[in-house]
Amino acid sequence: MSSTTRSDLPIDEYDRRERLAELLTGCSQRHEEDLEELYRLYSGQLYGVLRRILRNEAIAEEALQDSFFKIWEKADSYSSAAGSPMAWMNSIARHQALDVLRLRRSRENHESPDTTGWVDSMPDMAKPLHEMSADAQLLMLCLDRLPDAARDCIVKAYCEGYSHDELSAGTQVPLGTVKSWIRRGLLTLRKCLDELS
Amino acid sequence: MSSPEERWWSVRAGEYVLGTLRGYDLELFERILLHDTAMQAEVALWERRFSGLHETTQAVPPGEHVWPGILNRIRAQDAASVETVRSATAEAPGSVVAQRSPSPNTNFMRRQRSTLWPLVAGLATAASLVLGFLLYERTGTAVALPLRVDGLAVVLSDEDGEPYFLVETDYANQRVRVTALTPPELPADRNFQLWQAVPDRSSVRAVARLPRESGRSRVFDVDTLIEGSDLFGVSLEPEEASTDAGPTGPVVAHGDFLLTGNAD
Repeated sequence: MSSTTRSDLPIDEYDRRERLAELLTGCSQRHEEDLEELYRLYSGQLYGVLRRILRNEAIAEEALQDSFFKIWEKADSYSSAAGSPMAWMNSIARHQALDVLRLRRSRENHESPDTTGWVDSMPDMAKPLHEMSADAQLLMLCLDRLPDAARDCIVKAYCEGYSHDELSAGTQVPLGTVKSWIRRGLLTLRKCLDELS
Repeated sequence: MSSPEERWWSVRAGEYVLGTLRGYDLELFERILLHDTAMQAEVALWERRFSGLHETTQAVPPGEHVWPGILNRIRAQDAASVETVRSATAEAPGSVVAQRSPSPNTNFMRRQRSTLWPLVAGLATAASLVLGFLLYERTGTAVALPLRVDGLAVVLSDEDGEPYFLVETDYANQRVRVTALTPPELPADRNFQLWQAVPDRSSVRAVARLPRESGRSRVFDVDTLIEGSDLFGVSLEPEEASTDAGPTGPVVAHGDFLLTGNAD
């Protein structure tokens, strides 16, 4: 995936990234007003991500607090070389949610497959494809090239925090098969994205 | 990234980003990630690759109490930092205390990780040690399944998950059968060699040459296997190669096991 330049992006998308990057710089200099603007611009998006993974509003709100606290604390480590500010913040929020899930699972002392809403919990597809960024369109194109089972497992793991065990329970196939689907799917996805970008 | 090991690491990084790594696999990967800049770049690349999926997420406004909670927390943390600086300055005038200096525990963890990485990196260097690496990678996550189980099946797959061979145990008849599923075509002067890890996973032992053609099986005595070890690998070996010193060619498949029968 090549680095993104101004000419690759619509003006508003480019400006948005630039603004978010500026706000992160402000956070690294302990400017509360920059964190507040960052929160106003992006908390809804991160909360949507957290709610989807954690499936509980109160826990997702707590994870959102933790995520913004980490964004504040780690803002000085953000570099545009590591990707867009959105990808960086999403990564912090997702890992926060995954930590919460792991803690919950370890307290229960076992992986507790929760396949509630298995069929209805796929991505919302809130945006039509043509309104997505170039990177997102490319990703969708490559995901479409995967076998259905591999694509579903990868999307559910990423978007909803499903573990191998939960995916195995949800699809009713052996654990090893699910792992193979995901590993093969990742290799295919990587190849496709490298070729097309 | 193009070699099998590099592809394997890339998939590992992808699994880390997906969040499907668990337990020891996760702990080990995070330790490596702290020091390995190439792996950090690979993880960042996967984060970027997948970030487009967030555009499919509907933004939802959080409750109004969330922002004041964040603000209180950062102000409390900043106040605590200032207090720490004041106390330290009072105790040792002229000293400078970094507000975000790592805790002793963090330093301890870093020391631990720095001793681990050379071991892992060292294991991954030679073809003969790739299998050793795979064994190490599985340590702590593999179920300690004894081999003395009828109907134990070990599927030997490549890095893409392509199933090359199936190993089945039949203790009632004291035999083991290995069937070629979809192995790749081999040059005439190469063979598939099956290896099994010793129980402490410090080395591997040659088990048998394997059939080259899909659908063909080879049956051998169950005593050929090492009891108490559950990990297998397959390497490509020259026709006349000795198996005394471990694999000399690339490891093309390794085993995931499934229980298909009753344990005794």
